[in-house]
Amino acid sequence: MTSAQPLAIRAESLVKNYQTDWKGRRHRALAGVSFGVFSGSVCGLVGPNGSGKSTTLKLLAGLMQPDAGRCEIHGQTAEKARESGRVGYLPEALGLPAYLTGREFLRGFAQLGCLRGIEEKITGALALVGLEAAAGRRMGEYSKGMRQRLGLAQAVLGGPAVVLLDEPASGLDPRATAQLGAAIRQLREQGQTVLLSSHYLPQAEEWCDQVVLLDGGRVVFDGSIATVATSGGLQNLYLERTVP
Amino acid sequence: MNFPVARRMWWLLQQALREVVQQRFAWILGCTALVMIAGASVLREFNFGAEEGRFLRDFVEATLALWGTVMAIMLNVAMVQGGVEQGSLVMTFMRGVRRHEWLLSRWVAVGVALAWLTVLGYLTLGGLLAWHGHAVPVVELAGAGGRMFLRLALVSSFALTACAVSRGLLLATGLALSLTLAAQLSSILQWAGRHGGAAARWGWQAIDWVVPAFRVLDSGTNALHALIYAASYAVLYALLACALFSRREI
Repeated sequence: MTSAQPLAIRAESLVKNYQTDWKGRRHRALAGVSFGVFSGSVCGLVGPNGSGKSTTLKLLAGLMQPDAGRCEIHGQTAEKARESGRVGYLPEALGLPAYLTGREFLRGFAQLGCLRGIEEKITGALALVGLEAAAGRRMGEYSKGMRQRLGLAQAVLGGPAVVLLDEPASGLDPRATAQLGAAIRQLREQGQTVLLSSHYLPQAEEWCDQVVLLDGGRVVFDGSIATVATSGGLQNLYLERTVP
Repeated sequence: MNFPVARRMWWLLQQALREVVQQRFAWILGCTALVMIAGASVLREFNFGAEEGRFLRDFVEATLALWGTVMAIMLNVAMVQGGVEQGSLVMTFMRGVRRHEWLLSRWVAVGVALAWLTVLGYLTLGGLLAWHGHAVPVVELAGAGGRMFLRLALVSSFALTACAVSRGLLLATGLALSLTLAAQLSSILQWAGRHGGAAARWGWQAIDWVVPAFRVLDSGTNALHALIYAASYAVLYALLACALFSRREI
């Protein structure tokens, strides 16, 4: 990764407030978040609960509008990038219809995205997450880890340029976590850009080229994994830079 | 590249109808018919004489109105609020679907379900009348079925708007029920407006404008007028729901 590489993701001074009650009281979730992610790299968004990781990902996915600032995906606004299918997104809360099989679920999204060569693309996505054998089973029979992997398959279906993953390792056992790591490495090899949020610092260190540490809706560290290593590791940075 | 709007809407509608079926709707239809048949059998124990046919019809229509209202609200709440809370709609939006398209597809699917319920209710009524040896006024029952469907479609629009504006299941259900109640009590509201003070008059008048009156759908009113009136309000409420839902944070 060099600075000559184009930026795939650019977040500029993002501010987001949530209304918390009927009286109009507001909670500031993001207070001027800025960072960039180079094309073809993997970036980890880490931070304590409530630091603004999921909000940042939703803004970049074009699912919400910031109150101030802007976010771009390959030079397009996040909303345009979403509409043109250039972004894949795995939400934190993953509700899958229990009555569909994994393959039917992916087929629906592939049809909706008007993808060509639907069956090959579905097979490729299922192979990436190691779910080919279970693709014909109803999702009601899936374990949490399998559902999470199917969610990832949905996010990468059709090969979007940018993949946003909100807590992808949540609820996964060690084997499934290792599979997820392999899938993320494969996405990077294919030239796709991955931005993931995580609470698991060792995994973030292992999978990512870059780390953005958020606390209280602000970026408190943004650097390459080499910089993280010279600063004593991610765990050390986390404890030093975030407020307990 | 995404589906053209019409194909996208068709896809969304198919998914929504599938979800309606998954809410055990076929069972609910079957149970509704059974309740009507059982209730009609109990009614036969009483001696209504020549009025029996009218009692049967009142019973089935009252059951349908109450049960249909419950279904219209619960199906909207389950399909809209459930979709929001489970996060499944987020993945749909990532495929270029617009919020209003998703919401309208659910509204239409609930409308189809309510149409099934109405048809089943009136077919059961016709069957019960014939079984008990009464004349079956087919045209009259078809007209009454149409009016019942319009009423349920209005309740469904109220529920859709309530789901678009409120975040919790209870709040959405309460708001939809309040609007339904206001529509049901429109005659009383009108009377209170006429006989109250200036503030009450303006208050009731405002409610009368905002909430459609179910009394317009009564059998005594002109059918075309009832159709235009109910359809206009239903579409207005659905559009309001779309506008509110487009601004809602998910």
